[in-house]
Amino acid sequence: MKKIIKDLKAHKEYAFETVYYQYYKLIYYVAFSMVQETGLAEEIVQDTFIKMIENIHQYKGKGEFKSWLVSITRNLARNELIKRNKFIQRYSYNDEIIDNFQDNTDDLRGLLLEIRKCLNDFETKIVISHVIYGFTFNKTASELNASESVVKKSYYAAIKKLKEYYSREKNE
Amino acid sequence: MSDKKIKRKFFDNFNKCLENYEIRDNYSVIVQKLEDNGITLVRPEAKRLNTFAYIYTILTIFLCVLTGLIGFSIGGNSKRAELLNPGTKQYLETHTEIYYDQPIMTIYYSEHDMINIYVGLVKDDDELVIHYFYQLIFINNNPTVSFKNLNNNKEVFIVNSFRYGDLSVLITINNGDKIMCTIKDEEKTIHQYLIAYHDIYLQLVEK
Repeated sequence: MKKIIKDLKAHKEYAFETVYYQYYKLIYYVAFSMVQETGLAEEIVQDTFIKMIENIHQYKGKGEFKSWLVSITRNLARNELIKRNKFIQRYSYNDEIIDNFQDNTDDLRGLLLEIRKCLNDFETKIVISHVIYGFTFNKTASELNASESVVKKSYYAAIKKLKEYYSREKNE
Repeated sequence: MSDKKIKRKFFDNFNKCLENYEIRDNYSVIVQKLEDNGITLVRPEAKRLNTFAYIYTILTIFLCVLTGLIGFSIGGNSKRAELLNPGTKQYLETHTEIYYDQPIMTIYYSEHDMINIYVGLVKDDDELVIHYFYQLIFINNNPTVSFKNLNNNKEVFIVNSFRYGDLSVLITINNGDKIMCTIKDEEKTIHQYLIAYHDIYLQLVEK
């Protein structure tokens, strides 16, 4: 990844293309789960990659690249919601769609519904934030407006529940 | 299962679902917007298609097919089935009615990095039609891979995590179409061509 980042800084097309195809679906997922509109989510995906290349020199290699990219998306989505005056009325991290993902994502919705059988809302968000987005516990805590210790405790509880769930699934 | 394995399983399941996520690919729109903002991406210098290389490629494909046919006649069916790894076998068994169990073409990027092309028959309105499948094997490199049907200009970029795929679905391949496979990173670009001779490949599958 270090080489890709270096080449992104040099605006090499192959590096941009590689990163785009590696992450655009995840970025769309992040955007859609916040704004809940297909067209707007697509615009945010485009803006994320434009912002990524414009600000790539600011990425110092601290932390996972993916989580840096996801942070850009989340900030853009937040700004869009504020612009549309929806943020204060509607949005908080807790409003993100978890099991009501009404896009063309039957598989994803199915998976999230499955997960929700064993994890509560808070735990699901923590696991997605930490495992999928690559956010640190600290960053997850600040996104969720919770303390780091609570986030850590809930994460390990969630992993334990997932372990039991996967074992049951295996036995069935 | 360890915590690490649980995390991995969750991560894999999630990504598998993301792979099936059908969203619009706006890559070219983004590149255009970047250019409008004054950022031009640096492209590697395109290598010109050399006529000699082109003829050489076609001849190589014919020789491969011929060798495959001869090998098939001599070897028999049971031995050949062992040539496929379980993952490929499972993929082809799931996606075809019957398949030819050797690659019809292998495109080498390096000693340990390659793409295999397979053929198989797929049911389409009660009719069996030939389909072309790719398998990515990239161990040492992580290049960008694309397939382009030069006859209908349909092109698809493959993410390396999609190890298998049906090219006939992705870029619609008709009899005689020329397919260009491009593997590239910042150091080198490889173009390889496949001519979709349905009749020849059909014979391989049916024998």
